[in-house]
Amino acid sequence: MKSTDQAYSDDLLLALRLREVPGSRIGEVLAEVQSHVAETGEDPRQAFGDPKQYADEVAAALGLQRGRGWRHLLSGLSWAHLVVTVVIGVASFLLADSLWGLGAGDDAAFGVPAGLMAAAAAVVLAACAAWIAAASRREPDDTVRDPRTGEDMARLGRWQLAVLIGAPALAFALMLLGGLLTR
Amino acid sequence: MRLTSQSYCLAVTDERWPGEWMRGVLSLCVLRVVADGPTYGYAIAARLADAGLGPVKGGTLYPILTRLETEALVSSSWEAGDGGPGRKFFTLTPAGEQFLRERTELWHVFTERAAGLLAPLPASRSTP
Repeated sequence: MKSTDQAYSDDLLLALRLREVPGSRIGEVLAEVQSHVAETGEDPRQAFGDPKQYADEVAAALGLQRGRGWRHLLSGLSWAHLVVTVVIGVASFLLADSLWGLGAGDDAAFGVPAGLMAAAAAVVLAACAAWIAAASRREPDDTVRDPRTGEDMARLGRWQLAVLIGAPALAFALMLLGGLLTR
Repeated sequence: MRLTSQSYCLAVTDERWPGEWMRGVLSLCVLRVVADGPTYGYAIAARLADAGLGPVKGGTLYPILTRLETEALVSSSWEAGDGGPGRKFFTLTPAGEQFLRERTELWHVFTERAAGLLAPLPASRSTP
């Protein structure tokens, strides 16, 4: 697939997700576009129009209501989500602070030994990650699957995963380095 | 008068029918094409163009097929293409056949009545 076709496909996927089209149907729509464009040699934008407008048409054909905005998006959140978000924030701060302390040879916050604090914060963060993973497994499967191959069409790419894990890891490593430089 | 008949001819050969007419009849025509045997999107568009209904874009055609599928008037299955990205074949369901029969009959009555009303204007009216 050409890169412009891939870009159209990505935009359409996002637009359909925002209109709450089920994952299996999104897979069908994307495969239809790919198949049609390959057959006719047309540009997808010319054949199917603007991705947002096309997503509106698909949603209308499925009898889905137009997006209900932020209020609807927020209604899916529970107190547990809020608490875990706060815990992740506090634990991340304490981990960063204790890594700095470890580098500089000082105690971490509240006079706790830096090593102990870093270990405790890391355990809490790992527990939060496990909770999120378990919660997302409990969600009904709404993967965008290619109807032809059964493949996940919106899988996290290798470099996307690398950035997701690598960016915070790098930030923590820099805290340790920063602490060392103050010695 | 000359000009009117000329532009009328242009409109017909150009095969650009008024949008609201197409919206009204297109899904029935798509259903009729599928009734001739399992077929896929591009072939349906080509068949409609051959029939003189003008070019139908993918963005118009596939939502119609999606709607027909959610109403269980057609069913679909993917077939691997020769090295290509595959084709989605649509087949008429028994419910689709029933629907097509009823609507086709209705359509003929409807167009006959409309045609009966739409008698050509007397020539004198257009040259004041």
